[in-house]
Amino acid sequence: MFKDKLRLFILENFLFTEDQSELEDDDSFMEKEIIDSTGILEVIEYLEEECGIKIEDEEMIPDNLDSINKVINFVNQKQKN
Amino acid sequence: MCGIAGIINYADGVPPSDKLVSTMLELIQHRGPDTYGNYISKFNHLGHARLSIIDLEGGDQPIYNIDKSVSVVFNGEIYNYIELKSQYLSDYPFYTFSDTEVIVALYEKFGIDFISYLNGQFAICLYDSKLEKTYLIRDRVGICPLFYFQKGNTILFASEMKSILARNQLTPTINLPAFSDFIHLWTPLSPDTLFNGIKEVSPGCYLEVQLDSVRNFRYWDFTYSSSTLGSLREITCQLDSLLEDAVNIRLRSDVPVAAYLSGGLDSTIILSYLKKNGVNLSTFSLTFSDEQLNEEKFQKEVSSHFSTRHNSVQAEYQLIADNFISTIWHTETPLFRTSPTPMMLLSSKVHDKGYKVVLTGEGADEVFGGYDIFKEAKIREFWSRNPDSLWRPGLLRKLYPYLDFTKINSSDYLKQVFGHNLNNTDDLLYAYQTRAKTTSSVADFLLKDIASEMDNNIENKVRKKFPVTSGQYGVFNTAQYIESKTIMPGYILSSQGDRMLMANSVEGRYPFLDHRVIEFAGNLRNSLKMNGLNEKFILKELVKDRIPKAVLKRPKQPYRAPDIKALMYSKNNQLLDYLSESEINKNHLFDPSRVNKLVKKALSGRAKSVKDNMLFTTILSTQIWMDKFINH
Repeated sequence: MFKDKLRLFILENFLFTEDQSELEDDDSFMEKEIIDSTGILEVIEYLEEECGIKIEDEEMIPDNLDSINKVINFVNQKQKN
Repeated sequence: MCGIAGIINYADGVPPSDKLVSTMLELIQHRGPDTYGNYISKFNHLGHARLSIIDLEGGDQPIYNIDKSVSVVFNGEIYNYIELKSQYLSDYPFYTFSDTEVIVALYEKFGIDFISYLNGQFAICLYDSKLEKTYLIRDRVGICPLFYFQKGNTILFASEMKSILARNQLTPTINLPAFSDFIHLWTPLSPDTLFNGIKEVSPGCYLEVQLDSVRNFRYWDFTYSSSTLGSLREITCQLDSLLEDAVNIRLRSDVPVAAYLSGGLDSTIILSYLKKNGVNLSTFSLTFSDEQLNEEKFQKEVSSHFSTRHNSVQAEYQLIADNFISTIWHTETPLFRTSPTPMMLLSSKVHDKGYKVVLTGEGADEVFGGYDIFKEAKIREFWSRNPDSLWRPGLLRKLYPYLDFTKINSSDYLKQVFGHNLNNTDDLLYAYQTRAKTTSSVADFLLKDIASEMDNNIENKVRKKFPVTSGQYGVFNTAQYIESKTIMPGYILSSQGDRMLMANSVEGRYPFLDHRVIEFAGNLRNSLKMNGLNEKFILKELVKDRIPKAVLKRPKQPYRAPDIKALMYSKNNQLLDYLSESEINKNHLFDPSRVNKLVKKALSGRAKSVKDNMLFTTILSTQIWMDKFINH
């Protein structure tokens, strides 16, 4: 499931752990300081590569990218369209 | 500059073997390779390793007064020694032409208050055998280092901490509360160091050591007001003569003087004064293969404009990696960035070309408000007056064009990054919250038992340490004050300054840190420093007709060097070995599993963010530091 893969990507690359308890699905990446300002670009790069989507400038907003659930909803929406 | 080391108040009045001070001096021979000198009395042993710059024949130290009741060893320069001689000491029977003897003579005339007459950079040990007092004195802003270790009333002192660790005088252990300061502010809060037991004499302070007491006194500090009145023209004229004199007295030397040229405003201003005074000069610059970091175009333009004999060093990845361990040996502290290493490569070139002295532009950003962090604080304060504004946080986007995140076209992200504690404008660390949030993420890699010993309420610690109150100076001047009291002496002037210069026996001289310039700037209204978001406004006004327009108009580019990209180039992965599970376990600081994941990310080429680079460099350099100093 992509959600598990995404979760592992965030855990390993930003929290440097495999401990699932360190990340809830609704945790805000920025507020919880999981991903810093420059790290958002890494997430975007990852999503474009993994999901074969192209994320437009105006879509790079916290509503789409700031938690596991938000990313999954956003990617699902993009793929539907 | 030179190196000093010694022992004050032998325990039980029994002098230790002469070899201790000799060993202490040998460890800092790079600071003073020319001659050694010693003074041994009933109570003290003072040692000096000399880098001969003024009075090459007669200036060997210690220097004494007539009856030898006052003796001095000293690292640094007293730039106004000629004026002091003619103004106050015309009858004094000098036996040398050195600036050191002026210290002795002034002390005889004014007592310890003589310090306030000095214009220079200095770390002094002065022993008055009649009063049985020894003074350890450090310059106002912390250009020259001075460390000590107190055991009872016996004090070991030295220019570098490695001397104090010589011959097992002290078992080195890491000072965890100071490490906590370090991961928030890039430096421990003075007088603490990262070694338990070793302290520094804080900038602007001196220690008075007697047989039964050790007391610390502050003789100078940064202050801010808007008391200087006058038109822009009048104020610019005053600053012009002050800076010209600050540069000129820093040319006093019996060996040739060169200058660093970064390609930015500050070093260019110094060159403009040198040119005005007809100095035929060699300049030295760093270049990088990464276009983002390279300032070569500006360096060449300035060099050509002022007709200097230009030299440059290309800081290749391999060179940075090969010299990183040696860098840590000299800085005696872990680093957040590799930036000091190229500075060591540069001083090596200066040394190879036969120079011992360089003029350099450090201090202008702190004194005249040049750093982006000051702008960031100003914008955040402006935004805090209308937190719902969409336009106000957008100003932050202009600040860091070299950071990737500004490519993201969403104000919501800016709000999340910079909106933290937006309204706490009275915090002493208001300007530092964003940066500290990134750097303190090193704490997430610490083992739980280590992390529990850290005190992360850095705002509280800073409040206890510094004699300013919240709101006393306003956001902009408070940021200037904190910068000048923490990162400037603790990183810019030490890890990136003195240590990288002295590693190759080169002395740095800093006209912008002449205390008259600092005090003048401290009394200017802020709009003359940061005009809107135009940094160092008064300096630009001053030189607008004297320096190339391209330099005047270019956006400020902070000096940076490649981090992970360069560190990956170490021979046989020598540097990565420091991050192996066994090495991490040996030092018992970091969680090996997390470090392993960071290394994997770095090896994959995906660790590109500021945070990843900072984490990798800090953890690696801490491991090297532990290996060289704690477990050695």
